[in-house]
Amino acid sequence: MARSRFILRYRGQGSAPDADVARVAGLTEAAVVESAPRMLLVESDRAPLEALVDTLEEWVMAPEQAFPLPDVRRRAERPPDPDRH
Amino acid sequence: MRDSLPTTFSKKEFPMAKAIKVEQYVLLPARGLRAKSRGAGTEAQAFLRSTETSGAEGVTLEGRQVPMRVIDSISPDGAKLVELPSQSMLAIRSLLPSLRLVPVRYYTPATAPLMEVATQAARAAATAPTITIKVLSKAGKKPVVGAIVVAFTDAENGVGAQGVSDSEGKVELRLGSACAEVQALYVYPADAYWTLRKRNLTIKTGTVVSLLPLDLGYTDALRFFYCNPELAVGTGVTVGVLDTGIANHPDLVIDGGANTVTGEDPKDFGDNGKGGHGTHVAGIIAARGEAPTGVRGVAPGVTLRAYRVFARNSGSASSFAIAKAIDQAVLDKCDLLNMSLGGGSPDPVLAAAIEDARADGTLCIIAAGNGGRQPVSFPALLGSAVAVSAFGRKGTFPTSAAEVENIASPYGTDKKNFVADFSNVGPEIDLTGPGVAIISTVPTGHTEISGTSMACPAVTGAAAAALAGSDVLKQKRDGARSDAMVKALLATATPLGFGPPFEGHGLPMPE
Repeated sequence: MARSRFILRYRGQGSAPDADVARVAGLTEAAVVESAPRMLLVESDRAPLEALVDTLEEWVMAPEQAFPLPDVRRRAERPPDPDRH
Repeated sequence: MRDSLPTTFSKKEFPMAKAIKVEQYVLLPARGLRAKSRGAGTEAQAFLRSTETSGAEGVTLEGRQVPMRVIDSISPDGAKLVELPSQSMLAIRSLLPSLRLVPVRYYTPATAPLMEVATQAARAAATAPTITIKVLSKAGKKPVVGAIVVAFTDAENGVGAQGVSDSEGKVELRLGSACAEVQALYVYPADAYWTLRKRNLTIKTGTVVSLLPLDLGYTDALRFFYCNPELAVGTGVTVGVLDTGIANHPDLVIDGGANTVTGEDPKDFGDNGKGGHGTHVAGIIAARGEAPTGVRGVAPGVTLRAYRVFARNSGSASSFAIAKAIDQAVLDKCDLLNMSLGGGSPDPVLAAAIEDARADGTLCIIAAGNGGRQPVSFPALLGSAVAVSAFGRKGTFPTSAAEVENIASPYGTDKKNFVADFSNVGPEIDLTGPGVAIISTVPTGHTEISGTSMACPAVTGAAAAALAGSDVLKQKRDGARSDAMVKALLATATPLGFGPPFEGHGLPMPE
């Protein structure tokens, strides 16, 4: 099964504990794509990552999500059927 | 759990109206489920404990009797299931901003769209005859380049074609025949012109459509309500814009920023090449120009920072990039963050970033979304955010403009004001802003765009104007500071007569 990207965020005070980050980085099924002071972007299968996060205190996890650029302009949803003319 | 209330409160219980619909909400701290959670102010903690008794009816807040019925509680100091009318909801959100009031929601299974139908139709249309029309300026008959043209042969079912005008103003449309009866034609120029809507016309190759040039001195809805502020308005307030980046523009002064898109240059916080959404948003807040060559925003004196979260030439932003930008903006000591974005599923990571920002003294002002009377989008629906709907005003755009279709009920006390048809609405709305046909900056000049994306920065600008010079900004950067900013902002709001689900407390109009 293809691996997905997940975001892990530390909800405690300050930056994420180094020990926690090391445990995520050490997970064989996962690859850390990018890190920020309170977050990690991780490519992994869900189950092993979720299992690890469950053992870490004050972390939340969610799949990476894409937000579209807002636009109120009208759009044609489908072209006319040429057979009608 | 107790029996539910009758669906109305009497005038005696709530003297502002004869019969008011009540709704169920979950009342909880800004973070977590208990009063001791980080981010819950002392007033909020006391309030949750004072309403610990299941069945409690009505509370007193700053001397005001607020009708509310507690139905259930997870613990004495924990989240409560309550029933209350919308006016009580507004009162609690105003007086106790560190509490969240989340409407009770019911979820239904989503169904997948029938993509194959569109694909089959697209294959068929590829062989259809092409009509080439021209887009020209009304006055000089100059070609209009880069305009999006959308023609519907069956508008109700979304059947039609679209294209973009080339260097000669020409657009190719495949409408199934060489001469098409078009129910509605829309033109959205990239800059310098008003949008256009025409109905019930026949088009064929050689048909010309003409656009009205944009006059930067025109009184659009933003200028109608906020006029042209002095350049110093907003001084001392730092505003971050999380968007497609901000282009260098003669009307804008950008203090700095960051690009938080994974794999891109962190210093490249300029426009991402996808239409200039962020530049438009930034101009509504902070443009420092003057007609006839420029435009003026609501708070031109702010310190403006750009956080690019949309990838280069891309129309989507990762939740990681957004959350990272929020964290960075907090570190950069932004007071206000404008987020004209949203949609999708509620995301606990992004929610946490917004809640953490609020707990660190930075307030996120977020567009409600353009779903057309749908519930308020995530993340605007978060109790820790300030959610903004969009309204418009008749007479602030030409009657030939596409925005005539945004006119919809409810209308305000002043019948020229209306809630934009695209605006999402609901009990989470805190404020409303002008968001129909707003003239602002884009990388190539100026244009008019509509959306809650435009209403949101109008409110952000008003918030900056309200906070500038205020002692609130001198407070320690924590949740109490954010709460004080919310209170100061809401205190400037004037209801326009749409009703709370459409406008929250109304339009902020700082002096």
